[in-house]
Amino acid sequence: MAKEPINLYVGVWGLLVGLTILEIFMVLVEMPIILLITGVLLLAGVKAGFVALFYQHLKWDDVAISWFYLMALFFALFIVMVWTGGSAVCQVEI
Amino acid sequence: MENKSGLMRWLTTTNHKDIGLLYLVTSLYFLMVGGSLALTFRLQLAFPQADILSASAFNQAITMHGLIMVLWAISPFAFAFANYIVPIQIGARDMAFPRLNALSYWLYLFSGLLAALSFFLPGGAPDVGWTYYVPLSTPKFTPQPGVTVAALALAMLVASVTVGTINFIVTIATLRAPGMGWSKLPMFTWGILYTVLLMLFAFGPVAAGFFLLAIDRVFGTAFFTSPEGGAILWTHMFWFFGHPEVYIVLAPAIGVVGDVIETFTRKPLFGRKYILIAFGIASFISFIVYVHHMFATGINPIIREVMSITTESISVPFGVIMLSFIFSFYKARVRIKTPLLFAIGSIVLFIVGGITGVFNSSIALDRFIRGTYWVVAHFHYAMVGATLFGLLAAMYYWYPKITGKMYDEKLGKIHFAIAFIGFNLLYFPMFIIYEMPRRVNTYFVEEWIPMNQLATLGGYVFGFSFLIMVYNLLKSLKTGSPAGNNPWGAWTLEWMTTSPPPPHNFDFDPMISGNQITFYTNGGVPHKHVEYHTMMPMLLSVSLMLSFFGLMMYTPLFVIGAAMLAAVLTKWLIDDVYDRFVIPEPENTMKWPFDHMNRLKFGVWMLVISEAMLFAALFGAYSLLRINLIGEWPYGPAVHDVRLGGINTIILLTSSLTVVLAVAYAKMGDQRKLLYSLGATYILGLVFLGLKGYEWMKLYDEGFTLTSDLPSSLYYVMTGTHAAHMIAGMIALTYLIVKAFRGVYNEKNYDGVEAFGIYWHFVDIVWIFLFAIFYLM
Ligand code: HEM
Ligand SMILES: [Cu+2]
Repeated sequence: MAKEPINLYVGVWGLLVGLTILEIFMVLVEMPIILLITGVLLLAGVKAGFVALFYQHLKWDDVAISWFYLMALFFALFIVMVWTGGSAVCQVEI
Repeated sequence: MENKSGLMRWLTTTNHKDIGLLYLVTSLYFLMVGGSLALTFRLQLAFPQADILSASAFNQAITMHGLIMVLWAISPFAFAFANYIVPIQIGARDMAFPRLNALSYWLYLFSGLLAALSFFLPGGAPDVGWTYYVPLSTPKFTPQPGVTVAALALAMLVASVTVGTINFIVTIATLRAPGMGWSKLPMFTWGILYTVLLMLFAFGPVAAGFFLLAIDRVFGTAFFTSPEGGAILWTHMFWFFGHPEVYIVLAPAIGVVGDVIETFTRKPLFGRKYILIAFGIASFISFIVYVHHMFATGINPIIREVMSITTESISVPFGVIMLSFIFSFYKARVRIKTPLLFAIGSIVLFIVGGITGVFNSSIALDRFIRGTYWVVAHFHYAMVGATLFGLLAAMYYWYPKITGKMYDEKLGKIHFAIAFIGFNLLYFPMFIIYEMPRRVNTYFVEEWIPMNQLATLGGYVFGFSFLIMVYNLLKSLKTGSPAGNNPWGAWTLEWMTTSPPPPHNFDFDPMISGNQITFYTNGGVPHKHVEYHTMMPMLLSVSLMLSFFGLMMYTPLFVIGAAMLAAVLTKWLIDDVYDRFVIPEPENTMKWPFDHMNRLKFGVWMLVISEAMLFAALFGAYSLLRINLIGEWPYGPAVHDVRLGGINTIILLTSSLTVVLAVAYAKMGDQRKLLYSLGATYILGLVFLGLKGYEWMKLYDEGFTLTSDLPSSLYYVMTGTHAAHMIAGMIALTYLIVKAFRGVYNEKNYDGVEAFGIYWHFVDIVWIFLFAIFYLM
């Protein structure tokens, strides 16, 4: 019978719930929108990271899989940046 | 299971070689369809102001020609050989997921037939160009159902491609024979590996694009008709896929050319390692150059500049590859056989295509040649010249292996000569009339007549050359001399078995040590083969086609199709519950760097990656629309109930906890807690979906509907897509619970639960971001 890190899983869950509550709190205190957007996206990224690392077992699994994930993440960021940066609002003349 | 014969064998087969043959016949059929369309519109263009085709018929012909050739002919032609040859080249008995392999094929076939059906609908086939540019392809300009039907066919094809991609990645990464390290993989297998890696990341975004377009067309949303999204959004979604797609098409051919050169120069490729590295670099760069198809749009000049440079830099790795190929001939005892002739043809034509591509990548020049026959010539040199010639090399190279017979060498060489002349006669004149606009059904300029007539003549010569091939290959089936195991004296594994190979490829499993191939003797008892047959992949594809067709044309048909689909899926899962299709996990195979992966887990991981790319494009659409609607986009908390959304988020996070606990309990062999955890997950999932439904209804009452404005459309589409993924997860969960009840999961067997967890957590991650972008900001 293998030893399974049950407490760790529960701990991560507590953290995820805590971060979610923090996100909601950030909305309720009405901070400047730029700060809110940055904060909320960062927190979402942290939460996603914890799920991937501990629940999807990336921490223990073959690193090669993490590379696939990072590649998808890279393309996702690339897409978001080029698609927003390419639009008329973001144009600067060179 | 019993061996089937005749028609039943082909309808139910899961053997990779049978499926390869099915791909071969089907792709040649679509090649013929696409080719006939081309010959028809070439006739129209042979004379100015001809009226062989009306403007509308002309547009339909070129659109379907492009779609069919790129997606249903040339890529699947490559996958015919991939299916047949790759498992043998790596020393495997079959693909990792034989049943899914059959599913890939049947989805491919029926998606192609669905697309072709659009010719017979009122208004005809799509006439919007293979790039489906909006606003032309939105209902206001092209209301005919054919445009939607073909878009749905494309969605079906993407499903086929995704399943195939996952299958090939898992197969090549984990089923290599002992000793078959990465550096020993044959070039063709490498080519297919790069192809499927590109597919893994490229197809999700275009699926998202066609998905949004279909929703626009069926439900009246405005993603592509609004000034805020519109044409730019589409071109991003299309070309992020479109450019890598040209390498997806090309990569298998490069692999073939590599193998063929090695065999016929009788020595290892010059700079093999550098070819592979260059190949990898080019594949990566191909994702960050696509804006070169959008130079003429009002895109940010900085991005335009960067992508012009990255585009030009891609010629460096391709230069390395081509030079290595050429140097491989140096001091070699070359044997000139048909496959080698086609391989050389492929290299020569690729060089022309590549050099002319560099002209396109200059922003200044592109202003003049965009949308002209110059571009048509450029990409046909690359796609037809380099790729199709490479694949014809494959046809002749592996024909003796597949049939056990030699083709007629003289006819083969004649085919090459006529094809090469015909091809250049067809496309070279198009460089000369670089001022003539493409995609226009006629012209008035006198000077263009001779070149157009040459091109048309070349087209017919090129087309005729294929008849020689078909004649040769069919005739040689009967009269060809026996080929023997290894007619070319090649070194790769497919030549170490009989021609054609036995169903399980090798009587004794191969093993590589150093440069030696040996076979496990296994006490002289050959491997016992088990055939797996199932009709489900075919039926599933038929029912999907029926329901898509019915969706557009005839609702009762949709109902029948959907019911069939449900029945087939249920049967498929029941087959699995009763373990009717168990293929033992192979032992001793080379798996590095995926040593901890079993088949199922790896497969689900790859599925997750492709899904991640689909969502990436949806998030991209969100950010593009939001930035363009800056000032008008509603503040999230003003529309959505943050607390309710928060509670739902916590519910979903909790369900992730219960899943990860389920995996842990399965590993610990605790059946009872495993069942409780899975059950809890199910209930949490239901509650999440229930709350979601409640929210949707409330929003609808407030006038926030699917079509009310872009922010609302996007909200429903993205959360709806997420919910659909949850429902798919719940179906899988039902299956797991049934299996857990039967007590199959224990310390040794928990793959299913673990694989499900990876998917479920991914769906959770998507929600974490959806919650942030819609509710909190
Ligand atoms: C390797 C095989 C290649 C294939 C299969 C290929 C295919 C294509 C296709 C299909 C198009 C036309 C898109 C359309 O308007 O419908 C195209 C255009 C283009 N290609 Fe290639 N290409 C290849 C190589 C290259 C290379 C090596 C370069 C540059 C170094 C290049 C640069 C371009 C550019 C800039 C365009 C846009 C031209 C325009 O629309 O005005 N291509 N290519
Ligand atoms: Cu391109």
